[in-house]
Amino acid sequence: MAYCLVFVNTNNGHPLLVRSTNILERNEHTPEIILNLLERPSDNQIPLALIGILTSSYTFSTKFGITLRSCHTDDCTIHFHQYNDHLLMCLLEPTEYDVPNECTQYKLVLLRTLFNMIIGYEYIDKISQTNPQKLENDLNLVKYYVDTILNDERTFSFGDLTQCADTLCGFDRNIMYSCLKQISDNLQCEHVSITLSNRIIASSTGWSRLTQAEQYILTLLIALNDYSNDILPTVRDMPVYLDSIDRSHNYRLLSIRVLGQVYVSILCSATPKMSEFESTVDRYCHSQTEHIQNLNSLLYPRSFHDNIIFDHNVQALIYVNRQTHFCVSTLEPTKTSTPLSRTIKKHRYGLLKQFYMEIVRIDKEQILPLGNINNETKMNEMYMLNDDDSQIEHKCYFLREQDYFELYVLFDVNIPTIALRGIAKKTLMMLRKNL
Amino acid sequence: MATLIVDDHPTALLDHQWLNSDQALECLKAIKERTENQLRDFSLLFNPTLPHSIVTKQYRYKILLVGKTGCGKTSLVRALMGKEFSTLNSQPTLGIQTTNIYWPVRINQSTKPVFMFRLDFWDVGHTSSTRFDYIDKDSVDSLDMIIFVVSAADREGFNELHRLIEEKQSQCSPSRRFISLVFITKFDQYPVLTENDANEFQTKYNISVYLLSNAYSTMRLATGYLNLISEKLYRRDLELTGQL
Repeated sequence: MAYCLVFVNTNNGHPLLVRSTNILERNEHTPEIILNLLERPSDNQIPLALIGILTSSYTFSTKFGITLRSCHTDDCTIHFHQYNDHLLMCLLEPTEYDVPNECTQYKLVLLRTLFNMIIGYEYIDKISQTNPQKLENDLNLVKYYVDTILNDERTFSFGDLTQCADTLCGFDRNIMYSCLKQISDNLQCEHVSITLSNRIIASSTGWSRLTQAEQYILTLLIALNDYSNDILPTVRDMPVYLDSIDRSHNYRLLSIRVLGQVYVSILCSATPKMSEFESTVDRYCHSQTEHIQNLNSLLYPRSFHDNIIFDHNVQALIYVNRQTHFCVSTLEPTKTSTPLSRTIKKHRYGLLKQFYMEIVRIDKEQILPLGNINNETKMNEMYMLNDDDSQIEHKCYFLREQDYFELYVLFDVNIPTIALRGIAKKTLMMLRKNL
Repeated sequence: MATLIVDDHPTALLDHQWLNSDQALECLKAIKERTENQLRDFSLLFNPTLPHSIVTKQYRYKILLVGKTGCGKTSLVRALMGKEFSTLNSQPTLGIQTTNIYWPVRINQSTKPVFMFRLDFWDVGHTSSTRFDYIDKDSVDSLDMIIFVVSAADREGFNELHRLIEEKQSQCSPSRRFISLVFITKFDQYPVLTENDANEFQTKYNISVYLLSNAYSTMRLATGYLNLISEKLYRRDLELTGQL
């Protein structure tokens, strides 16, 4: 999905940060191409004149008491988000994707949370007026994370869409909860989490009280190097700001890679030292090495324990529990000896995401508005067959039970349409027992 | 191509030729990737397991990397693991990140003991360290070595290097001396600094200086640097305990 973010100073129209997924996609090629891009501005880079028009349109309307939320061109939708009195975020997306407003707005919330968490709202607010050049340099810190949010195919998770925390399913959480409690008690820290890549295995009450956006960004920071094919550090100590606790004071996100993609992370102040944190985690996790090893090998990257077996027609799915605000997803529901290729995963991810957004769009529209205005009829089941030139390309099914439990399934195209409902029902029943 | 400025200690305390032996190959097998000729990423509960008959002891060292944003500190750690040294497309480090590199050494003694050195590289993001005081305090605690990293395109940074070294020395405990090394990176990308500059610095301040290019980082090169680092750390240990 192509996106572009412009973070601009409305006082002078100077762009402080511009990131585009088109450029990102090119960056995944050889260094020669990147060098060419750096030397020759490409057509994917946004001209300064366009940034000027965006900024002036917004400030012009504000002068007349109108807050411009979004505008459309033939091929592009531009969303505006006022960061503060003189900073504006513009998110550009192709109109053809028809992304529901709710999803775009949440992406802007995630980006705002990211800026606040890494650089700090008060710092940005102050320095944007006194030293914008320095702010431009400081924003280099967030570039990689912005790119990951814009280009969510890097993470293959759905937390940014569902607004729930990504988790895993089908294993006994008790051992990890007891480990987490011992670490929490020993370090006297109320914000602790254990994650597998960017999915939460267990988290303390304090951690789950953070906003969904904060939890999403934190897991992104923890699992960052998993996506970049870079070295995997053992311990990391990152200064972060948490608006939901106290935005004027920085916290430390201490994170340790225990084994494989399993991390233990805490949010703390001046103590503990990194070495103390490492020895504490070692003390309480060492006896559970075998269990953690099993979690890592059984749950990654499928997200479901081996004992959860799906119908062979299921190609990908998202299960959301709106009561607990957790979601679990997989792009490879059937465990095979050879891992699925990235191309197939990307394709499935794109289709499932498109289907999810389609349901959100329909769901948010007023269904049957005639007569009783209070009649809040909700759509609880829907199937979709997408075709191209009369040939069916894929089949999807949506199922909701008791308002809270939602299932979105991407099926193999050869499944008889009549079987979709039965398999979806059976799958949801099985997942509800586990999460 | 990376250039190595000759070290000032002609008599090695470690047996560097041992790394070509069958015994060393067994050790290296435990710390290298199975498919690629580079070191593995270890974690808290995943450490190399070696027979006690070969490795008698493990020593742990703390090595701090200091340098401006984008000078290639993280890329240097990559290079020391035998991975590609590339500063293109790299993201600035947030706060501190530590990477553990395990490296086996055999001591030049009559009993020829084999030790496993665990080198903990503390990579500190420059922007974070200038903004958050706690980062500097935590990173200089119990230090064994500081590697000062400077880009070959940064003359100003190079000129300030000695002042920075003195500043770091003043922050650390005088009873626990740390070793200083300098790595000049990106020597193949518009270098402003020359080999002469590096030589002069080394002679004037008696601090070893190494030149590193973006290209040609290999396990062979990493082996050379890890041997050097291990040698210096072991020498310092012996000096601190009065055995040398």
